[in-house]
Amino acid sequence: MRRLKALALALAALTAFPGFASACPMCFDPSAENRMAFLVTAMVLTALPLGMVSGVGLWLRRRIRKRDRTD
Amino acid sequence: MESATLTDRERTEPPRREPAVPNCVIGTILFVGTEIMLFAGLISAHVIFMSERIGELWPPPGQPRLPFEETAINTAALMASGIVLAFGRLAYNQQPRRALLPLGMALALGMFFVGFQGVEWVGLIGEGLTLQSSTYGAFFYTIVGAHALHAVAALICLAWAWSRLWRGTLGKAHFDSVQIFWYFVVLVWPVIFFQVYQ
Amino acid sequence: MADASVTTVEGAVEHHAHEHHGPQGILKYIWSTDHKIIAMQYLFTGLFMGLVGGLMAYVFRMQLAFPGISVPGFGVVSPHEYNALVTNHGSIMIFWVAMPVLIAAFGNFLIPLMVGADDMVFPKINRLSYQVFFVSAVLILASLFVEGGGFGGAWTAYPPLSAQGDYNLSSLGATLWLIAVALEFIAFLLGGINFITTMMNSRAPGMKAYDIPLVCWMIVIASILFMLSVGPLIAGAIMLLFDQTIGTGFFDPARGGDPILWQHLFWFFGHPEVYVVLLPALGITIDIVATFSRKKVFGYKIMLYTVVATGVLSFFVWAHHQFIAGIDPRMANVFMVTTLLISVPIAELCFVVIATLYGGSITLNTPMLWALAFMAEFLLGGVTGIFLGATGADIYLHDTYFVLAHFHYTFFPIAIIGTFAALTYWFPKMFGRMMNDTLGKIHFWGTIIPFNFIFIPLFVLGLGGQHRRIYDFQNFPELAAMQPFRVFATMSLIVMLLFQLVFFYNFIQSLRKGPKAERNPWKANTLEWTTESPPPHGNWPPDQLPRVYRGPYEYAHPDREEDYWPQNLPA
Ligand code: HEM
Ligand SMILES: [Cu+2]
Repeated sequence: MRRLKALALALAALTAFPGFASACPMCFDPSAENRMAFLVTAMVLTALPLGMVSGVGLWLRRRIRKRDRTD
Repeated sequence: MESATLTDRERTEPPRREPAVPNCVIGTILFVGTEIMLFAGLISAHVIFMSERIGELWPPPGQPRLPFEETAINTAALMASGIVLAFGRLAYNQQPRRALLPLGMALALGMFFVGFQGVEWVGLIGEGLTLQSSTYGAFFYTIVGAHALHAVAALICLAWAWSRLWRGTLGKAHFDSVQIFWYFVVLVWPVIFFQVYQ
Repeated sequence: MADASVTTVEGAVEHHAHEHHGPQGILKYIWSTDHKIIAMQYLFTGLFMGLVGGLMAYVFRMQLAFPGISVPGFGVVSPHEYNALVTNHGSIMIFWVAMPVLIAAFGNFLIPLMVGADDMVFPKINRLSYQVFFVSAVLILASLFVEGGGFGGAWTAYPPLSAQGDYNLSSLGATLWLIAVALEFIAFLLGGINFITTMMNSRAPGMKAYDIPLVCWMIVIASILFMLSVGPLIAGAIMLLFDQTIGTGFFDPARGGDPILWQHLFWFFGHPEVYVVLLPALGITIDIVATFSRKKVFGYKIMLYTVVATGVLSFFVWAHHQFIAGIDPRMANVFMVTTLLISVPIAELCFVVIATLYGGSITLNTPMLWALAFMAEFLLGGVTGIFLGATGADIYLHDTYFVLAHFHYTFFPIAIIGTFAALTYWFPKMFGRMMNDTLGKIHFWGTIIPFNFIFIPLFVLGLGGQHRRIYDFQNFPELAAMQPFRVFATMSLIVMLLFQLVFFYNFIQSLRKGPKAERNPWKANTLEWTTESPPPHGNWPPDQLPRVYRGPYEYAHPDREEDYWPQNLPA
């Protein structure tokens, strides 16, 4: 069992070193900076809406609680 | 905006509770959230564009440099406008008419910002930076232009709020909505400034 | 503002303290701010566009099955027409059928009624929303007839093909297409603001967050997802519009642009969008299933939180559309994991439905059949999505008919099955008459069976290596040999389209001659069933707006003789 786990972990670790697969000749060979830029903007674009929703959600909850206390 | 339904609602029984957050404030927050994502998209596009320009001559040959220093002053004016508006809100809480001066000042500073920006554009166009001259120019005018459009729209809202305040009919909720909209315009600007003018 | 008699067929009610000073005559229908009339406007526009989209599918499927023939009713399909038809079929079905019908029509109709409000909170913005939408619908239809023909660069509008008229040879069509899509987004932003604010602020007294029917929650969560994801695509659309019209080079590599950037912005919206349309259909299904199995929804809160989790995750999966577009393979791995993860909440939703059915006393009438079919067919769509989500498999399957069959197994249940489920279930409330159940069942089987016969062959074709967006497969010897599959799919499509005539006949006949509906023909609990069918202007008499005492799914309560317990009945 432990061996199996080790094997599974090793296999999972392999996914950290994947190879490229490009379908389109124009998008081949992006620079490291370019790849980083895509990665960073992807993270920002994803985190931003989730952050906004949780922020507004928490704020609304506070407002509603406050109103319910004063009622 | 909703006068017809309000009269309907006044007659309804049992009476509904006062909402925790007024309708128009929620509406404005939702709208501003969408707009923030719009600018996030534009700025991401610019980040990716710049990452492909590393090692190239910058700005592109034949294209002017963006006036970073002058715009920094203009940025300060816009920030000041936001701060003045915050004071206006505090004054409004004490006594609505006291907000007339700060609100007017915020409006004037905002108009200064847009006017300054317009003068800058005229100069840049004269130096040969246009939408078509390069992708550099295209990005500049698209992003800054999108911001300018929002700034003008928000200024119209501020002016409307000021006139309502003058007549003594500006409610808290409407003040809040206009304030949120203006803060959005004020606060995305520094991001644009440091990303685009860098 | 519409008058009370507008919303009722043949003057069922004559009351109302409101004074009406709005437009009269036909203008009452097109200039109204009443949420029910706007819902009807969206519904009929959506159904009409669905008809257009379906006929487009007929034309290009005929071309695929019998290449080069003169399609009856259309003529010979040229390669460019083929591309334009496929592109606009996809765009219309997603943006002008699924969204207006599921979100706008049912959102507008149901949210105020289900939360016990007399109208939306911003009625004029609501009217504006439909008007913008209407203009966008006219534009997309007009784009097919301008010089150069309709846009043919796929609903995803990938540059460089979409970036210049010189490349796609339909510069005007492409620009009109883009403007139409952008206007459609604006219409839904306006609508979304209304849905969210109304559900927050206009609920009936006593209605707490967990007393809101799930379908309202789903439409509202979908609207939030939409509003948060659409911004980057609008940004991209503005840039693409500049590329097309004034010759900037944002996305065109020949002018120093980056085509992958468009994919980045498009799919950031594109994947949340599929959940935007999924959630309302799921909400409709769960409401119908609860009513017709006379059981409380199994785990209201589980369902709600699961949907929130799905919404959160849906922002993390979009790059699975770009696995082989040259994105960083490490990023692809992350997105593979999240894509596989998102099937967990989806599976959970299926189990909630099954657990609700378990042990219930089930009535298999037309709406229930549609609701059950939704779960069954969507399951197949979700399962095939897992194959596509694995990066290794996707290298082979990407852009084949397997993908096409996958998303039709998701979109068809959503847009078509979900719509029919909702329409047959709420028809009595919307139009005040009952629909014919036998004809409804004939239509149901006549749609479901051919649907599977259309798309199962396409899975096979996709696994056989058949790529999408190809006009004529006869030039590829291995693919040409699979022609019988294509013919079979096309024949099934024609059968399915013919069975829609049963629906239209049933719809019109029931509108005119159907038996009058009572207030609550299905003995359901939610508030919309407590008013007249159809509801008057203002939904309830002004002094009788409902008050809520319990959750929406109290069926077969042990302490009660009746097996349902309307939300507005005092304990
Ligand atoms: C909510 C229902 C869903 C809808 C409406 C939907 C829709 C779509 C659409 C439209 C495409 C094709 C895009 C294109 O290339 O033109 C697609 C592709 C894909 N879908 Fe789904 N999908 C749904 C659910 C899922 C689920 C649950 C998964 C995974 C667990 C999934 C995984 C994928 C993957 C990986 C692709 C990309 C395949 C490729 O292009 O090679 N989808 N889906
Ligand atoms: Cu996806």
